[in-house]
Amino acid sequence: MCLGTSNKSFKYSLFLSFVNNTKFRLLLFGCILAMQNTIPSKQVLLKTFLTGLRRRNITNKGMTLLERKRAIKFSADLAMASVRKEAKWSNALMADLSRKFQRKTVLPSKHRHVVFRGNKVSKHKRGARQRRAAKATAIAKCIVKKREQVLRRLVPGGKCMDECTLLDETLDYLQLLKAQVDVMRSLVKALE
Amino acid sequence: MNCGEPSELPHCFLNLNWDQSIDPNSQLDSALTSIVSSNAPSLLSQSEISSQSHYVGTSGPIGTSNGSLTSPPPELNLSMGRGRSGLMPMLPNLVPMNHLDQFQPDHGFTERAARLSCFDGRNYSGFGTQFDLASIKDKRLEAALLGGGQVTQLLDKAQLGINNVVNGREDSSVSDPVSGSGQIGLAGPSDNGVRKRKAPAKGKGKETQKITEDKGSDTKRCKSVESNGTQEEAIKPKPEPNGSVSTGTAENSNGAKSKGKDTKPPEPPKDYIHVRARRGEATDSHSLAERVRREKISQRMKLLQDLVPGCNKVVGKAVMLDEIINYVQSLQRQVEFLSMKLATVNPQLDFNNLPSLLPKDMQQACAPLLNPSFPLDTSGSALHFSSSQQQGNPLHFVSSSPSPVDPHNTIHPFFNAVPDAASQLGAFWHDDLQNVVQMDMRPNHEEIPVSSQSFSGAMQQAHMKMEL
Repeated sequence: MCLGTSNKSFKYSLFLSFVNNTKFRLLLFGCILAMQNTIPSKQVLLKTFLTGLRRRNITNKGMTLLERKRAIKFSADLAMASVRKEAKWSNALMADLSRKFQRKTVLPSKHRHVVFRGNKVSKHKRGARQRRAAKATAIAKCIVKKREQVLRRLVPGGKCMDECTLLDETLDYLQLLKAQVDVMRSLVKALE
Repeated sequence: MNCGEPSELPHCFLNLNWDQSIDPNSQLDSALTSIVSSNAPSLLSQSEISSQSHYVGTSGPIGTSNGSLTSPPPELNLSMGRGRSGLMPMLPNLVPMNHLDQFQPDHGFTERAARLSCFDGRNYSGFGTQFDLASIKDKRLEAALLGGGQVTQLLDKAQLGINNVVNGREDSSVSDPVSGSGQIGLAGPSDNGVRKRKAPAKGKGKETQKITEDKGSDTKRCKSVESNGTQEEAIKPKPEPNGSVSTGTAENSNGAKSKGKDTKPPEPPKDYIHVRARRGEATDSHSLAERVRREKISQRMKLLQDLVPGCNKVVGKAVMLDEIINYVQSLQRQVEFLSMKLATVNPQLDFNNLPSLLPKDMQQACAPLLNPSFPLDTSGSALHFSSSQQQGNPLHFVSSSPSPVDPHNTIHPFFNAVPDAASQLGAFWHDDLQNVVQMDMRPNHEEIPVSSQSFSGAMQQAHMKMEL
């Protein structure tokens, strides 16, 4: 693999300049991975991730496994949210993370934004067959609504969105999640 | 009239029928089926065929109601029966027989044919140039020559409908890659451009359709075009019958739409929101707005369908949402798992040699960096060495963006080789990661003292619960 370009050397120096004992190897691997990633957002993601990791100062001695894992996940989420700053979910995620790390207890969101749940009122104007059809559609709508609730819980900031934006945000969130998983997986692969 | 090109099929189809002042509708049925039976590869895609057939089958009442248009239909001659040679080359382009079984012989044939042309013009998106304006203009010319004034009118309106839709589509297809790429960074813009064609097309299609529909009697025709355009995905599972039920076709898929189809309710023009109320549907603003909302949602579901693997075969909101939820959950679990894995791998980072850890193709990359001055042996020495040298530098470096050359020169000799690159560092980090760094810097102070406390098993359990 040829690494002669100035861009790559720039990236080398980028990471190597932040030599920190525990992060050194990680950063080095990260920069190498950054070379290989062609999608720019993945590179940005990786850089942000690794910077965050470095800032966390994740040492192998001072922290337990869970602490480390938590810090890594935090950095990963932060990186993911920072790549896409304009999305609603990313802002919600950042707010959530900052809340977490100001050491306030993670509130289980006592105040839930009330999502409009419209119950379909059966109309008796139509015939029996239409009433059955209406019932079927009502059941389908209930199912859809339940699943929509679940999705709202999954996507950060989903509680306060209407259906259209929820789907938009899910789209965006999914893409970045995918990228994050890819980046982390390649990092793990490189380290093993 | 001779139609040379196969692409001008409907055009020729129309003309040839009007050409010959013949017979009545009794011949129509048999002749049509015979034409259709020339089971040739069609230009239409499967979905278009199925919807087309419905259109063709259900335009009966429209034809019947408009008495003035009955004159050309009786002239319909399926010259198939005559073995007209000019027709033969066009046959390969006819729709396969099975889809046109529902062909109803009646005097509304011109309506149907015009609708066909409407339909074709719109739905040949993949083929692009085949049904372009030139062919439409030809049809118009032919119709004028035939002297059917209303036929001309009909074709005019059809042409306008096609023009508008095609133009709208072209415009939208141009703008789509831009919008697609703008909106979604990672995915290829081509995919999203294709997928998102509906969104601008719908908006434009609606607006342009409105213009055409201001002409009186063809509202249904253009509405069929528009509704077809707006519900392309609905066409496959559930064809949209805009014709009435009275012809006996079986496509009353939407109960709401089948109401009042025998009568033609006049469509009130919408001034501000460019949405057409579909035929047979309520025309108040609430249902229109709801329809717009539903269509938006269905657009997004289509986009999501492409993103989530395994959703191509699924049709329906509930199942799709289920798949999406599963996918999001699985990705989130993967992130957790990978972060755990990284946490376990981390301790080994400092201890091992670089070459042993890296795959072989990376070793080349690492070779220039394997400086003998680097500590490559045990963790202890590595820790001490590195920390002593670069302790305060990174912090200072990142928080303020001063000239980054200094830390480089002091730390490692080979960094001097890239002073120009290093000078970019400050700006880079400053711009991109200012907020990130600020957020990171805060917890840095808190984490280290706190982490020393949590060593009890119960605490760890609590951590687990909180995280997951």
